[in-house]
Amino acid sequence: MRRGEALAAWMLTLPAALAFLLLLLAPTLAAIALAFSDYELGVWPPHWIGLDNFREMWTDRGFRTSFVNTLVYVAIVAPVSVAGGLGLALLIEGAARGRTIFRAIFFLPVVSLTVAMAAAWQYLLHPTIGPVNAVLRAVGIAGPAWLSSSDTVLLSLAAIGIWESIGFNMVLFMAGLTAIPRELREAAAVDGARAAWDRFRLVTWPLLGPTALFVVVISLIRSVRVFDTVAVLTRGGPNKASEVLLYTMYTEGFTFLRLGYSAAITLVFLVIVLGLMLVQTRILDRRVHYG
Amino acid sequence: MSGLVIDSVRKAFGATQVLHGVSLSVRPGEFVALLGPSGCGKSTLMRIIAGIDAPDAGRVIINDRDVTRAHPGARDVAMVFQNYALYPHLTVRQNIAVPLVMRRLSAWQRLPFLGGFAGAARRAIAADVERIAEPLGLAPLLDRRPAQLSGGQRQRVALARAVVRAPHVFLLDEPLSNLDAALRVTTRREIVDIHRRVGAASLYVTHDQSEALTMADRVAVMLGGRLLQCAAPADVYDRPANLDVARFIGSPAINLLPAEARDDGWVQLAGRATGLATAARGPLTLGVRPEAWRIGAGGWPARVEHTEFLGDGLLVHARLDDHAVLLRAEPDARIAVGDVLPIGFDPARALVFGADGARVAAVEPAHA
Amino acid sequence: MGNAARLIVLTALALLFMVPYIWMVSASLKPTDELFRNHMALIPEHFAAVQNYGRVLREVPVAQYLWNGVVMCGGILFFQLLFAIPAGYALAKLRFAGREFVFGAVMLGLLVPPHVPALPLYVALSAAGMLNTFAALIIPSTISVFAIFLFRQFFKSLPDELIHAARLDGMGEAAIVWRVALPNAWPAATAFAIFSVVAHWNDLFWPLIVVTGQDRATPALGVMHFRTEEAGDDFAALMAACVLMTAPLVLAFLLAQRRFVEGISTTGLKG
Repeated sequence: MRRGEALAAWMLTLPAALAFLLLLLAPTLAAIALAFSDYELGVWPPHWIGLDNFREMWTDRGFRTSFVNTLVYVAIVAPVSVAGGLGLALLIEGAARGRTIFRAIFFLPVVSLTVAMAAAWQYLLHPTIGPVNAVLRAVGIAGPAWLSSSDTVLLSLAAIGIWESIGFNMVLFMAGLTAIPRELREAAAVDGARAAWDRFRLVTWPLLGPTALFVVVISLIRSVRVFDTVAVLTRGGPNKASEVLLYTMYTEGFTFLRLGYSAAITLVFLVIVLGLMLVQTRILDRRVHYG
Repeated sequence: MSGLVIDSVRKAFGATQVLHGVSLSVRPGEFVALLGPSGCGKSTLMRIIAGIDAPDAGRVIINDRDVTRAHPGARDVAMVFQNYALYPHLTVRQNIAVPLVMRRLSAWQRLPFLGGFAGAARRAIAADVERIAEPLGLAPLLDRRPAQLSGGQRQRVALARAVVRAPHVFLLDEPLSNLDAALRVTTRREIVDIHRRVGAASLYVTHDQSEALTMADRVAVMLGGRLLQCAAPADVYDRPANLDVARFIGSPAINLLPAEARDDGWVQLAGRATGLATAARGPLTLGVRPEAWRIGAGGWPARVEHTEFLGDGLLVHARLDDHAVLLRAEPDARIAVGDVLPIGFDPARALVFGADGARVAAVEPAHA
Repeated sequence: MGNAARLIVLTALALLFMVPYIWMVSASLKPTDELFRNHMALIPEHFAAVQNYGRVLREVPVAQYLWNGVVMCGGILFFQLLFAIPAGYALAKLRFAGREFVFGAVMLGLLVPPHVPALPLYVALSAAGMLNTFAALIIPSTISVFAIFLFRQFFKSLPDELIHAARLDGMGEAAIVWRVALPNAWPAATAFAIFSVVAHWNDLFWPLIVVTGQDRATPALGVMHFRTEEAGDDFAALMAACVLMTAPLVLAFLLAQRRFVEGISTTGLKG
């Protein structure tokens, strides 16, 4: 039986294992190897160039801009969408009616085709025919060229990013809130926590800790991955003002066909994502679970 | 009157009327058990007293103050929840301190980084926590988190948190239901001790009649959203107000047999005189508790169908005409299945219920 | 906060969130010149829905894009489930040498975003002459370590007795997977299906890499193509195209809202 069981187990695991090796492990290792080569599509064989790609990145102003832009984008989108998601979840949770409708409305952007909604945003933010600037004109403000001015482009993309991800965070927070035993909030009320803020501090926030940590990390990772809106709306412009990591990786790899350099950028991206996950599992997990 | 007064409280959830105008009062220092099967509305009533739910009509008065619309934290009520509701992220010490911190410190003093400014108040709180933890045996556990405690320890922390600020009203919602049988019996005693020390008006919700009968000064029996009777345990057992209470109290359950009062007031069971007289006429229900039967000294033939040995007694399932009857016999009684026993009962311990279910006075001929 | 205040705040925020949809639909109904004249009106003076949607349907193979999206998402989901369910079952319920190792690989795989293996996969598919095919769209996503993880967790909660009973009834392990484990895993399977379809339907990154031209373009690529190549300043037609491409998933969401929200929040893990 034991031998038979092991055999059956391997038979069941085999398709997944093969796909894992071929489609995930091998290409990931290859990407890591490529990062240390000068591989360009069509030029064979590639040469091992050690850390040259990373040295180039260090001096490449384009990459630096891209890196800084990504950080700025993340620094705006992640905190606002986490706080906003929590705020919406608390507001909806306490609402007497309309909970399903509100949840649906705020969640809608998550399931909407990003590319199409980016186009809708482009129309909204259009400097001359866009309703946003029309509203601003009506109150006497000359609105900027949101997506085509290097001063506002990143901010505009961040606004779209927040709009897109806030509902996602809200749903995660709502799941976290339902997991808090109702009795605890009642106990807090009986214990004299009379202000909503006191109950939030005493019960909701500490018990939401694991959810909150998770939402923070997910939001950071999701916003580091910003690509669609940039690819559709700005292509990194104007003048690299909206160049972000994945878009730089995309253009280096698939427009300029410098796969080695592109792989090196991917590796930076991977290190950031792994770092964020490490923060979650190692440092913070211990402080928010009450075992 | 100080203590707790509940006046005609009504509550409906949607179309379901859960409480049909319940009135009850608990004096300071008194321990009242609210007894009823699950779904009878007793937990709803408790939540209304605590202020977690609001009644549709009626008043809740605590220490002569109408608190019907007051916030739970402003009622001078403490509550032990069924699942204890301990804050999992706080230590035992912090859990017990919460009600004191919330009441004695201002919002500013409670801010995590400014806490140092409230040194004297915080020291007083720490002293109070230790004073309450000591007799409950919680002193060595003060720095643990609830997850590191056993069920019985958690339950004592919940008790400590409830009584630490000496509340005027002390509510307990099925506090023993999550403990194992042995621990339940010892904890009953502890809860009564704590109640005596605090001297609060205590209301104890339970579906377990043995808890209610053993712990309480008075037992309030609740069925279907109505308070049917509120009296001392012995009264509820020996003089139930109606059939529902009689049926609900007592284990094994009371025998209820159809009887009849003749025109002259004499009560007859299965065509034979019972020696009881009543003012009622017509069909009645006669209630006899299993231990009130006398075996071998009476006129009704009961055929034994099954016996259960209980250790301190013998439970006999028998049949009297078409009716199943339960009798409690001495453990050494020689009774076998198939025996036909002549049974009777002590008229003083029999209960007579009228056609509407209410108990009616019955007298023995000697006193008639 | 009082209930009325809460509802007012929520309603205001909800309207704000709806703004892109409202203007998108409104613009798709207006004649182009009206867009340029009257910037704020929501209700068109003249309805031009026929012209706008007509132009889109004439010039854009909408049905082709949607069909491509369906084939891609369906193909990906099919293989993801085909690979992940047996593996998840084996990891949850069978004892075999190497199980810890396999599970370790799964956990490691969870850490790698799909953008990392993209470059070598592109090179391989290109070398194999498979660009612009459904295979190129589907194959790289057929293995979802997240699905394996999800199903393993789910199967772990199935009682062992159920599996033992099935064995006593004479079922082999494969039969147990499909006839006992899967029927009990519907909640996990639907949740994952919704998560997977939403993610791939909306994805732009990978289709943009492996597909050029319109034959295999997904809805995301289709909108992007129409926007850059054809629409020009015809925002009315562009918005009409956006409405058409966004509608299917949004409608599915509105019909099965609860399942979508549950699906995303239980699988939210992977982001």
